[in-house]
Amino acid sequence: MERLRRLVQITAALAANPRLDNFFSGRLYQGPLKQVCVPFLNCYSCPGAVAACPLGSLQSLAAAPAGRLSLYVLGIMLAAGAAAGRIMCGWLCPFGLLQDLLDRPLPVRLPLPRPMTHVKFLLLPLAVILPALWVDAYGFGAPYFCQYICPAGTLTAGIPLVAAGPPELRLLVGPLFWSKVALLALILGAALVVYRPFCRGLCPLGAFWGLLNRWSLFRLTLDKEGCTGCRSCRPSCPVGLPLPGGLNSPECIRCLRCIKACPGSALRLGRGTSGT
Amino acid sequence: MSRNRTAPRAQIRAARPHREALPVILILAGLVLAGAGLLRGEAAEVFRKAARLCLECMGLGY
Repeated sequence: MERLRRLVQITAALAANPRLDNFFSGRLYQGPLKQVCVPFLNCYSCPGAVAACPLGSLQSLAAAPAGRLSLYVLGIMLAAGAAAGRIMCGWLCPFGLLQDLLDRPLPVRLPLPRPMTHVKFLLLPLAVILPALWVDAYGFGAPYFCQYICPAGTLTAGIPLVAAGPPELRLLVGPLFWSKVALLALILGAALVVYRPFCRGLCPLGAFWGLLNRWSLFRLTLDKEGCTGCRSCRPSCPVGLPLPGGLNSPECIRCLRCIKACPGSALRLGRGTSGT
Repeated sequence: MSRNRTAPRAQIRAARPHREALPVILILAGLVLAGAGLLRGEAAEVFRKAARLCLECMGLGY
């Protein structure tokens, strides 16, 4: 299951960012696919990207002078989340893949402090609303989450384009850029000892889809007659949910390791009715 | 009166039809919203933003 998940993650990352040549030329893909939003965090200023990031698009459209909530982007996010909850986090997101790759068996493993898991639910409304409310004298807002926090944008767009893009970009490197690089380093460093700190603590998309985990069409279900209560599933959960009780929690990224760990095959992902 | 805990799954499903219908309604609502956004020309707006360098996304500027 983990090998299949890794294969799907790598395939999704390459499918969303196939223009690897642009990393060397410092250019952006400008074809028609850029009007399509992928259902995961994937910076559209990444040289390799051929599609748009839903979070960046949502903020950018709200930040325009006649800013409005994008029904197009919100609809894609809602349909994807209602179909399968956070499965996009576990199986598709390239930044999630990077954090998974950093998750190595080291002597020190730390749990994410519980209050940290609530921060993303605070960032979700701020990311959506603030670009329309916090505007300059001309009515322009900005995609504030991208600007001040998003480590995916720093890693896949900022650093490559500053390195290989137009020389003028280097003149714009300042404290903001370096603070984002420091935040990226902090998140990647934390990912060595904490499982997926960004997804669990800061990602507004993860917060949105997490709220839909319990109500999604495909969700984790427990066959109560088949469950022996052995709790073999509990240690398999990388985000530390108290399984089998925490099935479909907003924190579950649907890696599906618990399904593999269940000796009685009592857990499954499907259109169930008994998901807790 | 408490619910019969040994009720067959079909009975539980019948007793909670909203739980079955809600995700379908949400998916359809999402598709309708996305369609409405397309009619408002939002895909073109997304393209205009996504096809250009986004300095804010890169953390460039002051």
